Amino acid sequence: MFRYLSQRIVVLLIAFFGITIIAFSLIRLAPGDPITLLLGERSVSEELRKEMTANLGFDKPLITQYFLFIYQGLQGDLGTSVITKRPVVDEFFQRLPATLELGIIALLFAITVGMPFGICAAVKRNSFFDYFTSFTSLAGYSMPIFWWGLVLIIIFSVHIHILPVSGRMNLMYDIEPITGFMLIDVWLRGEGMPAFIDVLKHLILPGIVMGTLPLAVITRMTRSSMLEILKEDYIRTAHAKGLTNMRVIGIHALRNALIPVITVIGLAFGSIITGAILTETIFSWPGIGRWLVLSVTQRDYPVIQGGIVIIASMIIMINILVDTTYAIVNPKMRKQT
Amino acid sequence: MNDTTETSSLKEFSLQFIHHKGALLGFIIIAFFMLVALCANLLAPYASDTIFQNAFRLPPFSEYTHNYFILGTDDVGRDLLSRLIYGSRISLGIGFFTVVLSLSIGGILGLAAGYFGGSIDSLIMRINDIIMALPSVLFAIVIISVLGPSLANTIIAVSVAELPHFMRLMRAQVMAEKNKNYVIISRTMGASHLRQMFTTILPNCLAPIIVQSALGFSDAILCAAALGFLGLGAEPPIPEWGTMLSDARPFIESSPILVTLPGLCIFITVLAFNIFGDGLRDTFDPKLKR
Amino acid sequence: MPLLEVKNLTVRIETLKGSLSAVDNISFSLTEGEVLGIVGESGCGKSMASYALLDLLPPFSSLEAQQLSFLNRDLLHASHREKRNLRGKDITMIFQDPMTSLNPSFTIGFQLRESIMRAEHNKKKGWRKRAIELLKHVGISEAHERLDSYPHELSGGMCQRIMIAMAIATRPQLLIADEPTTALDVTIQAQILKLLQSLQKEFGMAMILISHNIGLLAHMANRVMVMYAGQIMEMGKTEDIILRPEHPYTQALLAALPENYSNTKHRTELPSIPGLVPDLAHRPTGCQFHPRCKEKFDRCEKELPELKEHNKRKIACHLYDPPSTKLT
Repeated sequence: MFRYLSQRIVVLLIAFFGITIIAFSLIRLAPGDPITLLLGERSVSEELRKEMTANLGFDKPLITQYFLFIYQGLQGDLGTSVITKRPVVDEFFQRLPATLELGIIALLFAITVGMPFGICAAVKRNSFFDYFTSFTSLAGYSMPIFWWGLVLIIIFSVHIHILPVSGRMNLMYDIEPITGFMLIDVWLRGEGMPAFIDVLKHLILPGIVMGTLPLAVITRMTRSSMLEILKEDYIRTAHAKGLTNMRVIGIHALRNALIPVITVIGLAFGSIITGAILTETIFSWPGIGRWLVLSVTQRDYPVIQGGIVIIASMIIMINILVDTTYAIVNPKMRKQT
Repeated sequence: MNDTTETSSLKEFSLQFIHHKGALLGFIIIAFFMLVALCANLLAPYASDTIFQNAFRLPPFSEYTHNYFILGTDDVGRDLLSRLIYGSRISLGIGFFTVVLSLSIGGILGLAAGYFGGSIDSLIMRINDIIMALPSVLFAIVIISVLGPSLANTIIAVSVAELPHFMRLMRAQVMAEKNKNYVIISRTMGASHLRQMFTTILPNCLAPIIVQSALGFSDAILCAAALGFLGLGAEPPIPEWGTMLSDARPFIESSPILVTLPGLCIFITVLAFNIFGDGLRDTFDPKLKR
Repeated sequence: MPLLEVKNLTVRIETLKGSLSAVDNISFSLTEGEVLGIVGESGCGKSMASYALLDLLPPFSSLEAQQLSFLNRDLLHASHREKRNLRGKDITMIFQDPMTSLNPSFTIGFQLRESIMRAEHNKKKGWRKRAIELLKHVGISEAHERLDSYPHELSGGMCQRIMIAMAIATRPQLLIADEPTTALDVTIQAQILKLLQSLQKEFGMAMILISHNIGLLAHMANRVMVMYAGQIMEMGKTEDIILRPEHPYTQALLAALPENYSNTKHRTELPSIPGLVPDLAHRPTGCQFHPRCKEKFDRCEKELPELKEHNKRKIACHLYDPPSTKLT
């Protein structure tokens, strides 16, 4: 298990190294002079330009520049936003809780709906329910979620007015973030139930939209994994032992079917980031997805650069976590050295 | 003799394929959109960029200065139906070029990685890992941020983001095939590396690659539409479905049809390719059936 | 009193080619403590017949019968719940491949405990002691450590012993062993068979032993049932069937045994019965075995022989059944 894990970690670190090279090259490959890009679209005097070039190390050889970039990055300095003039790292972590809160809700939705549907579809194979589930999950998989979000807004916000169109909460609640997770902050700030429900209402539509793709993937994966397992000899043994159907499916089959599903849930984190980019744009959600898109349209290169480095490192950490869980859940891997 | 088995297996394949209702349905929808795309100039009532003065956001079935608009007009006075019809050209075109690009580049890289193994394999797989470290839409956005938004750059960005699918699949296929007897025999008979890779091994890896191509089409269309929606895709006035959707967002309350229809087109096309791909996989792989 | 009574059992499987009868109208019974051997080539419906008893049929299959009773309880009209209560308690089963028959994600102890709990519901505490006792009973040393092992850490023979321990945990009336040694090494096979034999004697339980190897049954079974294409060809006391086989199929099975074959002149050839088991979708007319039978005549192709009493056994063969039409 340790050999497997250390191999995976080395591979992932190499990938991370690659991402830093890409991030580093971005600003140098982009059309236009890097200094102009870094200073925004303002005209600058020749002296200031020279001074900036020297300050930021653009006059040094590329290799030195890269190591400088890495060195500063490791110290938590990923540059300053051109637009807000604030450090990229601060901006990122200020927005992260909003995305995480939404992402957790979306994943919870996807797992709690997707796994039971996938299991039932596999157990009731070739039934109407199975066909319904398979088709719906394929539809979810094919869904352009930016459109899906707008359709839900048209139905639930524009037509029947039961859910808000955008934002994290009603403007009448002016809550200064503590943890950044509004579901928690409303209690810490003593706003109580009405505010909590308001925050929850704001989470429903974006949560569903963001959870749609993971939901489809988890349902499909659970179903196919379960179908494979139900054919196994040990399931027949479990039936022959006179165990109840609940126990055979819920314990004997599920435990084995979960192994690939866990991997998929881990990988769903990537689709959460994709989902965040689109969902946050639709719902004006103040998270990192919308921040990144804005930075691309505003050509705020330090933000793009820093953003992808942090996101890549988070995805890589999640991958390592998934691999570890995988190794723990699967007894065949656990005992290997 | 070889010919007859070939044709009979092809016949059997098409028979099974027709019996797979989902695959057939997907195929019919794709064929429909392809037909629309090919005959766009015959089918569309107007050109995609003709602006009708003062005919802003007309509802469906309206008439204005002797022009009839079946689905109404958009916010600058262009016929929505015509734009949707020409849009199928754009989306299918993006899908086609993306699949061709990532299939050929990713396929060859995967083939080389699987066939040679060793350090070539490690090098190619590390490139793969780097692309996979970011979700494909984000990776495409990063590329766009360097190249700038345009239709051609959309195709390039999406192709790169889709590369790993083809690379990994091809590599896995080649690794499974390369130690089989027929390959070893051709090696002992002195076939060159290129001949082995392309004439001996490649034909036996095609089935999953074809399936992945159908699924790649849907991924590419979806990813490109997402870029268009974010304002990072095709430049106006190209009638790209995602861009149309994003342009119509401010009018979501007054003219929801401007938002609904382009999205529906994306959804149905993508769904059709996914159903088709799934059906193909089932037909190719009888083990998975029933 | 018969322990098990099966009358006119048919098992159908729905396939793309249509409905096939994997088990075709068979009847047999079993008394307490008796060992019945079922023999036939692969695909003869031996396993299906036993799965039908336990309600373990694979998807898309169904059974019909005139009577199906165990200890005078009607299994045909019993609810799923009643049948489940019987399974793993009064009737237990072991399977062909012990490595895949144990759940890879759970320890031996966990899986053994499930069986122990079937017998003694409320004793949550004593199971570990009982489990160790059972493992020792089936000849596993270091039983303590084995409880925490996972199946992939053990050998095939060890896994089959654990399957047997699970099967005897409830002191069943009937143990069904479906090809219990086929997947094992030859040396292990004999050990497992000896173990099964001694446990059967010790507990006095009845046993259905399914095998494609008729020689193996000779040592174990009181009675033998020979099946072909889902039908019974010949059934009777072991010594009658093995020493004086009358059905050409039984004779062919016996002749195909390596030990019998080596006495004859063609030593170089591997023993086999020419031809193939019929495809159930395209059953031959008349006697199912006639396309491969050395002694077939006209009638075999036209008329399905009935299972009739003849010379201390039941046999379905026209050789021993003079046509009644001849007399008239």
